[in-house]
Amino acid sequence: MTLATESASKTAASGGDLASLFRPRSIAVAGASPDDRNIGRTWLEVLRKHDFAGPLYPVNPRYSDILGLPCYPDLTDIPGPVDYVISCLPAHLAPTLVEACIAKGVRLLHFFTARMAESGDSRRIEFEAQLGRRAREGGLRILGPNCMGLYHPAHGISFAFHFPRESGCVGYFAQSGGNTNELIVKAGRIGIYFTQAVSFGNALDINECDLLEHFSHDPQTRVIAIYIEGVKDGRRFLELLKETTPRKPVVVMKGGRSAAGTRAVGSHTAALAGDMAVWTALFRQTGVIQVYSLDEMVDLLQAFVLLPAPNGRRVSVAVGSGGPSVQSADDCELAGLLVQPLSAQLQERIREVVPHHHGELMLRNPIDSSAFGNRDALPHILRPLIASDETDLMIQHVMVQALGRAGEKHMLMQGLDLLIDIHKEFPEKPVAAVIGTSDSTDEWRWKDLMDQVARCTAAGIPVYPHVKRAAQALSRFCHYHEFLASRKVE
Amino acid sequence: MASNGEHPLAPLFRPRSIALAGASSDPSSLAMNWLEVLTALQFRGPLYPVNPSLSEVAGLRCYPCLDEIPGPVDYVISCIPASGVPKLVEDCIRKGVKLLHLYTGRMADSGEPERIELEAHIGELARRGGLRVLGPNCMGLYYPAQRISYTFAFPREAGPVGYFAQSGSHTLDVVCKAALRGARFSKVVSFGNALDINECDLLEYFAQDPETRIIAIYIEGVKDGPRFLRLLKETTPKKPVLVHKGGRSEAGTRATLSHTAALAGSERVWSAMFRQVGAVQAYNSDDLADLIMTFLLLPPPRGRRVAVVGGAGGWAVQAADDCDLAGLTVQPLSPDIRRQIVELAPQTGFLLRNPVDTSAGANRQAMPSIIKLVAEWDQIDLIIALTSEWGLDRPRDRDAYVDSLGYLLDLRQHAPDKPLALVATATAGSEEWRWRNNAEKVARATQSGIPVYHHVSRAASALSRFCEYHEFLASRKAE
Repeated sequence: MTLATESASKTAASGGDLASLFRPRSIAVAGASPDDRNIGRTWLEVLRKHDFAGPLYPVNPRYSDILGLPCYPDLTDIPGPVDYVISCLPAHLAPTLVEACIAKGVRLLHFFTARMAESGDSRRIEFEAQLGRRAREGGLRILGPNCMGLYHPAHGISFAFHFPRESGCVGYFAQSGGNTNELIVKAGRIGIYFTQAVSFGNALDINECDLLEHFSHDPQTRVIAIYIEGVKDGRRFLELLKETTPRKPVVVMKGGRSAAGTRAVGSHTAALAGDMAVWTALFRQTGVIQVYSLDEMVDLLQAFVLLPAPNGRRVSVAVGSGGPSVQSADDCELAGLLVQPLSAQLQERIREVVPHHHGELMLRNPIDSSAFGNRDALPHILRPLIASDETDLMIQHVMVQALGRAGEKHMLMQGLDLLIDIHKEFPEKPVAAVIGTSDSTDEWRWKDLMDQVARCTAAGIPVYPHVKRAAQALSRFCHYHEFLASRKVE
Repeated sequence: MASNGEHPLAPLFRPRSIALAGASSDPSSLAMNWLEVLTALQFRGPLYPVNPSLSEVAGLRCYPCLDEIPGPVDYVISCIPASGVPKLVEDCIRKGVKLLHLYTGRMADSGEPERIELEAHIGELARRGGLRVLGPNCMGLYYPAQRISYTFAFPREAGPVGYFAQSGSHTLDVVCKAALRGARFSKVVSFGNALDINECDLLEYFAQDPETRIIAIYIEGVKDGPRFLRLLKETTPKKPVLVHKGGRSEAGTRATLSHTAALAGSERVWSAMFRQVGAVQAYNSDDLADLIMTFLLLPPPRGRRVAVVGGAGGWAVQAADDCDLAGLTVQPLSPDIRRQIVELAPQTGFLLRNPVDTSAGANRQAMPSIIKLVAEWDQIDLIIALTSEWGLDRPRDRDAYVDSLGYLLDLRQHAPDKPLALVATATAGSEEWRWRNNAEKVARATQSGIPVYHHVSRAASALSRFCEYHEFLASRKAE
């Protein structure tokens, strides 16, 4: 190894140069064809749709143009510089491509190409390792194999048509392409967007440590989301987590938590899943927030992106009906939030401002507005309630199944109007809405709900489909802020 | 029990006529809702609105009081304020009414001594006069075969699920969500504060009811614990009983007091008790709906060994984790089965051991054959099929996908004697096509009698409790 390449590989190992690798000036797609089932062609179409600004080069010796773009027989035939190559070639052509990339001075090669180490076959494992060695020698960085690669909306790079064009403040990397796709779409539909998302598959070269370091230092990334199945260098990962969590929340979903899941990991990305008890302890120590599904991941991202820091765990819950008030109390308390009765003084303060209440006004926590017999009372109750230092967090639970009639849709809108107003008046208190999924196939119901959810998140209020999910997310959110506070005390 | 072998509540739930006390011409009132619903459902007998200040409501003649109604009145729904109820009870007794349903709330649930007193007084009056009371503070009766309902949101067709709940909201949630996935109900009773008709009466009734095959319950507390326990014990060997107990935490318990004035009791005691008597515990409305679908649609399982088919790598890992952690056994497939899968789906990757990853394009079509293959293997007891719209980027993919959903219609035949669950995310995505695809998928699965779950963890958890119930039945037979 020459001195020059040695220092190059050192920089590479630090992960610090991923920022520039993720902003390529040009992209070549190796193995593209005009066939509309060809994934390389799809990639070209997606990059075009996302308005990638630099040149796109299809590479395939059998065609002269694809989608109106000149197609080159080989990378080395491309006239300008090529920074980034997406490989859709079968595995056996990968070594030749690596050589061509090195010869051309390509900086980053993304292997969508699979059927390598994840096969569990010793020859393929060695084959993949050999590719890694050759790339390292040649100063070429590799993403994958067996992955979907890079989504970088600000730079016009995507691997799916329907990903949002908007950029946000969440950095995400995942060892599963499907999980990358799903989270981007689920978060995007409620207005949570990404700086970059990286599906990194078998992690032959660029691995979870490099990516964590990258996002940890990326100035646009405020929150980091991770899906991993195993790590290559546990000690470094731990150090990086420790170093990152005091500055940015890190939310991790670890696949392979059970014996069966661990077996599946082996044939998915060839990662070593490790013992879950060890993982959980490690996450707790380092202030990492652990989640158990992508839905829960979206729940936490909403909290971290939208909410101000809480002062504590005491939650005030407002509900429109008796059964859900019991459910809310159960779910909040079992998730570790504190559902405390309102103090006599606070009850007194509220009664003073509520107009025309007859006799006793039931002021419990959860507040059940159906028990008032006076729907206009709610705004007068919620304001002193949220202003009180007895409330650290507030959840408003809006029923959806009752939306069978036009008037009730109006009630949903009104309830959310009130919540949005209150949030504007008291922006320093975390407030969340629960808008139940209707599970409905009724088109109007689905559309109205999506609109209302979008309206809340746009106003800075996270929305959860069930009170249990809200309670869990807020409790974990509190946990992170407790972790921060405990560090400051030390 | 009545002389004809019927439970005493049975005739009460088949009234010949219904009067609505506190009828209102306000279109947003619940009283008006009741009249509209009963009219739309074409309730077979006469409907009598009652309100001294109105002469007509919704095209029906309105009576000033019960006494003025010409014919017999079997069933009265009360929407009047609590203070007027004692007089209404007296009117009912004089008129020979059999069942008074008090939608009227703010009684014992208020926690106020005078109102608790008022409720007790009402109970005493009714008992003395031989009048049965449902509620107060509840939605009452949904009995589709008798064309009685309290909301337009419920289906008109009847089915074999009986459900009683101490919360009206929960009945809305559970019935709508389960109905969407194909469940139908024999009758649903929202019974609120349980002043007279309580959870024991209802459990006994549903246990004997020939129209009910599965019993679902939401309770916040019981009035007579030993009787409830004895009834559960008697019922579970004959019919599965699915119970969601609200008030599992201290805060929840405080909330039950203000909701239905029930005594919630300790969660651990309840869970242990449910396990002992073979009742299946649910933890929220979505969960109860999942269990209803499971018990309604699936044949009994022979064991806990599950095969998961479908979905990309990350999903496979999630599915394996969720199944394993829910207590199912993710049985590795034999080399022989794996070889046959590769023959059926040559593009398949390396995730074949179980879960079987069929995410690669052409393999979607192979899914039914793969399911048939694993269903025929004697080492598999349960099958979970994973589906998603993820990766359907291009419009042409979406159309092809909807066309390919036909396989769902005969999937059931591929695994005729083994429980088969389908996972499809609920209202996925903001794009219309995504939502449409999903709706279509749920509709087709439902049409072919396959239960749909909105996450693999929910399918795994419901299947595991389904297995537990059948293990309970088997252990009883073994004794």
